[in-house]
Parts: sequence; C-alpha cells; structure tokens
Amino acid sequence: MGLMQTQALLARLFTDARLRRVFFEDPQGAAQGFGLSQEEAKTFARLDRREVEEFARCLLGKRALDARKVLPFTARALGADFDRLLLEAIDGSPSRERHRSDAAALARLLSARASGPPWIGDLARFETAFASAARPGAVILLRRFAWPVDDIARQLLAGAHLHVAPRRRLGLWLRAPGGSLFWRLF
Amino acid sequence: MAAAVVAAAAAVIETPALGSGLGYRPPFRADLFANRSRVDFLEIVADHYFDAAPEKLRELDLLRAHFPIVAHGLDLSLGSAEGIDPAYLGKFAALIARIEPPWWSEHLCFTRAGGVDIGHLAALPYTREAIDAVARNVEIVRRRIKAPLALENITTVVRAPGAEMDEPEFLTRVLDATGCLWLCDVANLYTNAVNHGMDIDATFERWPWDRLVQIHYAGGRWREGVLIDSHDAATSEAVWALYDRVVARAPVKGVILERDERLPPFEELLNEVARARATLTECGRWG
Repeated sequence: MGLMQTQALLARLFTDARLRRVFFEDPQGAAQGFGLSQEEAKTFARLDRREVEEFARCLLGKRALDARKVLPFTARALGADFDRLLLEAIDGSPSRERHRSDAAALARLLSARASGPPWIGDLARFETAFASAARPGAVILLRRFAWPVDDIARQLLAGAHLHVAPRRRLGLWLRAPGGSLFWRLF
Repeated sequence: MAAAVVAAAAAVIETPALGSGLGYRPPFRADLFANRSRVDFLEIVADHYFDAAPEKLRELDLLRAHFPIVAHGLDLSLGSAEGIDPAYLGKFAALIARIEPPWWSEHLCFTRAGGVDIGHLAALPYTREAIDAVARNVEIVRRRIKAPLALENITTVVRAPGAEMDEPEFLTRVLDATGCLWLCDVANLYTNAVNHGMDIDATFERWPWDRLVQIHYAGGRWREGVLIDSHDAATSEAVWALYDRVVARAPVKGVILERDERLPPFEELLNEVARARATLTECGRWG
C-alpha cells in the first residue's frame, strides 16, 4: 500500500466520525472499499480502534483549546458548555485557519440559538471581530450589537455577577496597511 | 545527502550553547521581561507569526532584541507523501530570514493528507517509504531555508500499520537520510514508552544522541489510562530523570520548557528553567 493512500485514509479516519464508525465495523472490508488490495487491507485493519478514537478526541480537544483562546470571554461565560457547543458548531476536518473559523462557527451558532444568556451571540461576535482584524493589510470591520458587549466583557473579567440591559452598540475595527489596529464601540 | 548539508549540521553542533529557555507564550510576556536574566533564550511557535498583524511582528522584533531565538514549526508536514505546501514553506522561509536563528525545528510527522488538514501531529509509519518521503521534502525545504533544521520526535497516539522498524531506528535513518539534527522531546519519549509499554532502558543507546541539538520537556496528564502530552502541568519526576540522563549522554545546545495551558505563576516556570539549567551546568553543557 502506498504511503500517500495510507496517509489519506488515516487523515480521514482521524477527522471523520462517521467514517470511523463504518470502518471499525468491518476494517478489512472498508479498507478494500478504499481501493486497497486484500493483503494491504489486512495490514491496515490492524489499526487499533482505541488509539484512533483517542487521537480523534485529542484533535477535537485541540480545536476547543484554540477556540477558547480566540473567545476567552465567551468561554468564561459558557463554562463547561463551551466545548459541547463548539463541537455542535464545527463540522468536518479543521481548516488551516481553524482558530478563526471554529470560533466564527461557534459565534454563528450562538447568535442563531435562543438558549443561554441573550447576549452570548453578541459577545462571541465581538471577540471574533478581533480575530478577523488580526491580519496583515488593511482592515475595515463594522459589527452591530444589541448588547453592551464591552461592559459584559469587563464584568466577566472582574468575575462579577452580570448586570446588563440591552443597549445597541456599533463596533468599528480599522487598520491601514502596516499600521496598528484601531477599534471602538459607539 | 549533499556535503553542504552535513557541513551545516556539523556547524551547528559547534555553535555556542543557548542554555535553558522557554517556549514563548504571549500571556507571560510582562513577567518574561521582568525576569529577563533568568531565561537564556526563547523558542517561538513559527506559525503564530505567519500572516501576522503588525503588532505581532513588532512583538517578535522586541523578543529578538532581548533574547536569542529559535523557531519551531507545527504544520510543515514533512512526512506527507504528497509533498509540502509551498505557500506555507514560503511563510516559514520569510520568518527564518527575519529572525536568523542558529537552527529551527519541525516535527517528524504528517499533518495533511488527501486534502485533509488533520490539525495535529500524526505519526508516520516506520517504513523506508516514509523515510524517502521525509528526505524528499527536507530537500525541498533546504532550497528555501539554509539554517540547520532539527526534527522532533512526537507523541505517537496511533501506531500506523505496516511498520518495518521501531522508532529509534526510524529516527536514526531519517536523520542519516536528511542530515538533520534532532530535537529530542523527552516528554514525548517518556509518553510513548509508557503508553506503548516500551522499555526506555533497553533502547536508550539506539537513539541518535550524536545528532541531538535541543531538548523539549513538559508536563502531561493521565486521561482514562493514557498519558497525554498536554503541556499543562509541571514536569514530572520521571521526565526529569530522563532529561538528566539525556543531558549527561548527549551534546545538547539548548533546552526549552513547553508550557501551553493552565499557566502557573511565572515563578514556577522559572524554577523549572533553573532546574533544567542546573543539569546543563553539572554536565558541562552550559556556563
């Protein structure tokens, strides 16, 4: 079996839960289904299911850790629910810029969902704006919020019990090429 | 292997030692500068400075102005049979040109295959074909980056099927085929031994110690009977014992504490750095 085919199949098994289920029901048959010869499939079928599941879990854990770094206040607000909701929000293998794309996926999910604190979607979008602005080149970003996200972040940082009421805010992030980031909430 | 590669690898072995350092993480930047004299050098994660905002690049220049720096990559995927991503390599080359480290490092693994970004370090099958793939990729990398490259042994969670040799032999043959140096992660070495029931004593002399240039050490944690290299705890006594043994055995030039998560008070990190430096000094590797 060629290294290229081996690595491609491994990469899919590591990142695709549905494929893992199918594969480990009949490893040899599934491997042959991927074009491997009977002998090659026999070798590949020696793959340890426990090891593959553990690695897959590590990959998701890494994605959650990275997303927490992009969304520290959202993570603080959601507590133990953060990882569960992130796993709901992301689908398939990670992208090259997964810290940004996974955080954005969670922000979309939180914005679309009615459960949880009513401001949680705004807070996540507020934080993802900084990740979007952390790029070279010019940046112009505008975000509308229904809640005072800066106050919410401040109260979360202080560990205080949150007292917030809806208040419309407009966020602006600006950067000239090679310049420093400017941002403000109006 | 080109003579120039051998010469480059030999040259770095002759470069002055860098001592005991830290893997740089932004949350402890202020503490780091307040304790500059207690950290001999830094290792940056190269990927964090690709496509970076100007603030991030200014941070890099600031670090470089105050510390010797080496760069450590995460996603070059040197073991990918389909080759390496030229755009990613271009970013890496630009970073190395900017910071001019005495050496740089990447993992001996693959992170991409068949159009899938795995997002983490996956173990290569220990086969001759994999050795050839790494050698081909390293040759391409060398056309863009002249600084010596060190390859790091990873934690093997999944043992790829079809192995033709064990890890010490595989690593030795890869280094022979590429002329690369070795970044020995002693925590990974220990983790693999524990999780896969290997006897470190039995294989110790079979690792390529003469190629060692740098060490990583870190703490991990147990999860459901598996030791994870989580970099989120203090270095264990077992890893320290292995670290001491490796430093006594091999001509290491620099050692780095990798702490990524659950950052403790900075003093605790400094104590680990000092502990690592003490062994370097005792063994005549530093000071």
